Amino acid sequence: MSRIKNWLIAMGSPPHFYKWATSSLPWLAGLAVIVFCVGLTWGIGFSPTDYKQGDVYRIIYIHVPSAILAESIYIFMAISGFISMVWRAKIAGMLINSAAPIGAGFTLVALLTGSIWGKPTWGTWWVWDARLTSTLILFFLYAAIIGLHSSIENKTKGDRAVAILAVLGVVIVPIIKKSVDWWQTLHQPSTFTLTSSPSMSPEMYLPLLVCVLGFYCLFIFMLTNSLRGEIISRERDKSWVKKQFFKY
Amino acid sequence: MTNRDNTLDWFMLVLRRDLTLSFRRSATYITPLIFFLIVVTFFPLALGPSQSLLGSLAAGIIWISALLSSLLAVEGIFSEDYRDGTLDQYFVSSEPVFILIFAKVLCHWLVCGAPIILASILSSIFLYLPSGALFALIISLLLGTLFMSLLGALGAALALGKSAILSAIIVLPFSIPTLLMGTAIMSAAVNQQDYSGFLSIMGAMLAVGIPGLCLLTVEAILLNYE
Amino acid sequence: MLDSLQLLFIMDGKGPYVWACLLILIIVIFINLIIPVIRLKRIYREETLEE
Repeated sequence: MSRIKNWLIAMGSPPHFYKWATSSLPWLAGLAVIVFCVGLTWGIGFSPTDYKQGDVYRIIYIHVPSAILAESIYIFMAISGFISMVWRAKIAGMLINSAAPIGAGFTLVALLTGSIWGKPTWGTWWVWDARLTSTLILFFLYAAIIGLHSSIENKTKGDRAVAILAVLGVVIVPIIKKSVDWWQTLHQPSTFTLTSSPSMSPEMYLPLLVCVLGFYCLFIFMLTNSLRGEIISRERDKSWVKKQFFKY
Repeated sequence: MTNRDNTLDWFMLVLRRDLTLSFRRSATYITPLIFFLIVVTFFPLALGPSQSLLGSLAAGIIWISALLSSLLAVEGIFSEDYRDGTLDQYFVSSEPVFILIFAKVLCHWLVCGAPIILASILSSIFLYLPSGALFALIISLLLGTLFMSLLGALGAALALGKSAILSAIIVLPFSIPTLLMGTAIMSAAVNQQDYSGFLSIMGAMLAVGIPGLCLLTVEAILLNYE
Repeated sequence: MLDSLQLLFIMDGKGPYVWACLLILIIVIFINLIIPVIRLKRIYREETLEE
């Protein structure tokens, strides 16, 4: 137990994290590529054709993991922000800034792929149903975090501001989702929801699970890569950077 | 100087000071009003003057314009006090700062929100709002603009010294529940239904929001003092 | 089942949709991966070139 705690505390300091990140980056990349590619090729190439939607439903293997990841990354940022506020861990503060573009990217993928999926199946590029609307709002929340951090010159102060925003956001997001849900039923009293996903047989469901896992591995790889860059660019004047990165 | 030991006295002092300062410059309370009216005017210009169309959209248009006006108007709430050191005094005093911050927010609401509510009465005529809904409009806007002032203060504190649009971007997604509630009140009023449930929800949001958002605003202002 | 590569690409005429989605995903992932690398390269160049 104390070993885990010591490892966590060590990870909180930038030099340790940088060393761990640099050495484990190839492994993380390999793991991510393997699981990701296996999941996607299984899903897109080998899973059975859907009865109702035909082959277009294969977009689900891109759309659903992206959406799941988009939300998870926001929660992850909020937890990290909370940790940085309570325990003042430097890494936790930098983590929000590194994870935000990744989360925004996945949200964008979810929105675009959902829209592209909607065209052949429902006949329209966009529809204001509860899930799409709350994903769009999530995108705006990510944009707010990225915009706020980039506008503050002192990066540490920016970390703290963005931590407040992330923590507030994670509290508000369930409220927003509930109210958007309710708004949607208010304006569309019919029980026909446009977001009914195909009922899944195990042969379709398993590759989806693998895809989600692959996306998570990919996220960890991307985050480590991004954090590495963030650490160096913030601490470039420190002596440990000179030794490890520039190899003076 | 009378001995002000009571927090309420300090609250009233900050409130009176801010009100006096705001009313000295007429721009402070005129510009949000004019912005609101201009935005409201643009909708018939863009959508055409059809009475049925405008009437059905009136509640939403007025609410959105009120939202934007009160957000953009809250920009300077902290910048001057931060620059000349008055804000430091708030922190140095032994009073809980979030109460003093709430005094500033309340002042902003009285100076910007009240004219907007009066202007909304005018706008309801411009946009052919169904007549039964006027009272609901005023009540919902009263609660809504207060919440927007709270949120706007948080945005202004986070983006202290930066552009107004940035603080608007930060804060607008959080105002979505208020917007949905307010327009729900309006559509219930237009259909002659009971909207007291929605009002209580808005009241609950305010009850949680006033202490919560003021505390977060204090946190955000403190960032500038590191 | 993967009958033929032809079937996989066209997918009953809906192929472009699926492949467009995949392309979007690849592009987003690529952009997110390449930006830190470019940053680090720029920092390295700046520091080692200061004479």
